[in-house]
Amino acid sequence: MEIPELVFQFFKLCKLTPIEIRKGIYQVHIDDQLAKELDGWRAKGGLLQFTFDKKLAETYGAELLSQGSYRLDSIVRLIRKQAILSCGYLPHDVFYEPEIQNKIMEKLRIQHPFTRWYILDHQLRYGPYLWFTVRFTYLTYEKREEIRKFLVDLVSGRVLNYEIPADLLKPGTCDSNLCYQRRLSYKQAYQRLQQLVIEELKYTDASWAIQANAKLEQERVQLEQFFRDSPNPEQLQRRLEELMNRAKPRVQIRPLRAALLYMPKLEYRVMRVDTEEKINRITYDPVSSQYEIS
Amino acid sequence: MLDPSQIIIPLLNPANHSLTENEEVFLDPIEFEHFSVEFSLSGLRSIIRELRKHNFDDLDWHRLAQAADCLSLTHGFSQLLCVEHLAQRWKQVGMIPYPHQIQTAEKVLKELRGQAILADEVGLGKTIEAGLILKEYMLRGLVKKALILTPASLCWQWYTELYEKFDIQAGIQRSEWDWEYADVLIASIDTAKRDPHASIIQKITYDMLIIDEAHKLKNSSTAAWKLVNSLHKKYCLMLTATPVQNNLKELYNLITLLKPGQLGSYRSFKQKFMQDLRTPKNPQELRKLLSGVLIRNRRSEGTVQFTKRNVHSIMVELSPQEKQLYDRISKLIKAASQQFQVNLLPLITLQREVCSSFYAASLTLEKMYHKYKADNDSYILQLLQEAANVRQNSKCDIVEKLVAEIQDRVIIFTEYKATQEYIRYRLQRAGYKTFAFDGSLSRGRKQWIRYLFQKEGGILVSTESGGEGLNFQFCNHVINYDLPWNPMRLEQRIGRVHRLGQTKDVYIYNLVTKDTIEEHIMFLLHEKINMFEMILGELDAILMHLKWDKSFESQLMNIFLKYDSKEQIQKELSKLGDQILRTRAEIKAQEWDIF
Repeated sequence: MEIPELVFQFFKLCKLTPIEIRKGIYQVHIDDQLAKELDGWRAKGGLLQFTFDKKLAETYGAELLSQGSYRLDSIVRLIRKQAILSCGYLPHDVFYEPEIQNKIMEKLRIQHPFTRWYILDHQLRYGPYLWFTVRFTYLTYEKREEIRKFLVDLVSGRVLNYEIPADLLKPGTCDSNLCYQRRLSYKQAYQRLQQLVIEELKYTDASWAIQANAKLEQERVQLEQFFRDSPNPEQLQRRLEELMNRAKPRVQIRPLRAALLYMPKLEYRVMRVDTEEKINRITYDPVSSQYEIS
Repeated sequence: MLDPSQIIIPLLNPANHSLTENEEVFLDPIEFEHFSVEFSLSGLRSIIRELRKHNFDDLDWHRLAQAADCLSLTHGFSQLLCVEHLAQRWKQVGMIPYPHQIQTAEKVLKELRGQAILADEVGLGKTIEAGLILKEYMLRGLVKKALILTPASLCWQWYTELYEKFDIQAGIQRSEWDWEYADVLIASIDTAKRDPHASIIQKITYDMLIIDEAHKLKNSSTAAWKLVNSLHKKYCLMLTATPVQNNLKELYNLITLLKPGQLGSYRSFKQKFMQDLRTPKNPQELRKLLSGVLIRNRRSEGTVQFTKRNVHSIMVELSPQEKQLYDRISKLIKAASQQFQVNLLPLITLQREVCSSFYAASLTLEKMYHKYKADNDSYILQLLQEAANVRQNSKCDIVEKLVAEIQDRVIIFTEYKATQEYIRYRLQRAGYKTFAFDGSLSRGRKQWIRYLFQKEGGILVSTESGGEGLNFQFCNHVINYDLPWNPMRLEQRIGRVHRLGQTKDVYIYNLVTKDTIEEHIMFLLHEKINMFEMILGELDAILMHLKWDKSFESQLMNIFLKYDSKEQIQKELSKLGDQILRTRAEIKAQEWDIF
């Protein structure tokens, strides 16, 4: 999301409408309560004039909203306090359902060439997912951060590591009769996420940590050598702790927020005919375009 | 479908305020080959708590918060975040950081990894550099708890600088409870080193420790050095303009305090880098080692362009009545010193007061009258009566004319409160708005007066103690109504306006009464040692180097009491001036070429 989009969306959600008083310069009246949230308890409401253009800010004295500016930082800080947990669902249109059926049948025929499949009926249902927004902080002498999103299927326990179409999500939940019952506790869901992250980190590029370790080792040797000449074990211990605290490479993982999502699943009852007849269920996930036979 | 009433519009929802990342708790780290992984428990707890309460926020806010999360990420130290973050504030307070300050902050972050001695020459803005570094670490979430140890007289200045220029709301330590509660705390190092304070702060882990005037830690056997050595800190900044004052051991102690082992053991340092205590060996190698912990910016490198300082000495001719009274009081002082061989200090005070105004001198004369229980026809009483009859004040007449010409904000400095009151009375009578500034005002009151003076203009009449610790870069006219005998005090007066951040040329008007001691002092300060052209802080270094057993004021008083003729006095003052100039040259010659 671009900065102007974020700012206008923020004001929209605060039920405020900035007015463009001059090309590129906007004005909005903020009340005392919002002013206090943005600038601390002593702040008072009033007219806020802002722009996204540095030149305009200098010319007209409007507050600049750009990456790192005080005003943008205060807005971002306030936004980030919101929505620790949300709830939504992804509505699904069965308009394309015959095409999906054909696709599935095609795949099944390829995978099981000596088996015949007959679709008996189908049903649109919704599966519960926990959608985590997680911040990865790579910490050593420096600090680097990234945001990752993980979708944990609360029925199968699978962790899906892909973007979901957030703009298509609708607020609230769908009809509870159509929802699968979750089989995982929220804690278990997080544990699945942890497992996946640990697996991923095992194979991730660790050059940043190797470099930091080399510097750290140099400092450690220097310290130990110094205290060998003038022994003071307590002092050495403390200095080593300080060094580790400052420089030891570590990855900190913080879930920042989550959303309980209900994602569509098409459930087909199919008859499988090979040596014997058997009724199976095929669950198709239109978001990941994956299916599962049970 | 979920009942819409269950969806909360989260903005300003008080429940959300507890979900900040203040008290981060992590699960036990999982060790990998090259790094460890820590999962935050606090973040998860917040989510689970909300899940249990079915406390769902609006999905649009969720999408917006995700975008905000991405915007708030830190990407290495490639560029300073605080410069953009504070741009608006700096515009308001009229601050523009100098390139060398930005470069220093970047170097400390990228290369020195948060452990540095900031050893810029005086007046180049070490406090600004430290503020930039502290703010940068705070913005990046790497520093939360910071301690600033400084001489007590500078606590308030640090507080103001951090708040005004860096939007850091620090606390000033006043009781032993403050240590634990304030995130950023400013404290006197002399208080900190004493118990019970020392034992409290030794238990706290600081993300950043800043020590101002760090040259006071040059001796490793002092309580201050031991305290700093025993503190738990992640990053540490030491600020000093004189990392080496006397010998190389001081430098070794300072660096070892910051980073033990950087210069090896003292024995090896001595062998490798010391020819004798004051002469370095292998300067190139030493310089390389020092560059790993120490940054020194110099004026000669063109780091800062100060605005021009224009000094005008205005000779004030006393009226015959004033001159007569001045001579009679001076005679009394001389007689008293010869007759009683008393402590010179009260006599110095009286002599200085009589140069300032008769109102100031009258108070001391009155005290003397009561103390010595003088007769009704005594000399002191006569003097008091004469002082009461003097109707003219030639200096104040000049001040009124000067102020009318300047037509801008003016600061008038005087040494005495009685003089201050008289000046204010005269100026107010002439229709000028005046503000009084003296040592008896509380800090808050001083700030308020400073604010009014900046906003509304007018004339600030200040005693020296009133101006301490406050800067007035928004004003560029200073009148020295009387001249302090100690040049350091004169420099401090001028330093209130002529410092980093001053954008206009500064005008200094020294009022000098003809044929009085003031004329001699002006001869020494202006003509002989040219102190007004000296760089900020240079005089301080010279006076420290001189190591006189008597104060500067006493040296002057001895000359004034010993000699009568103008020529003799000037000859003696010339000698004193030569001594200062010689020392200045010596210091320059000794300038350590190792930084």
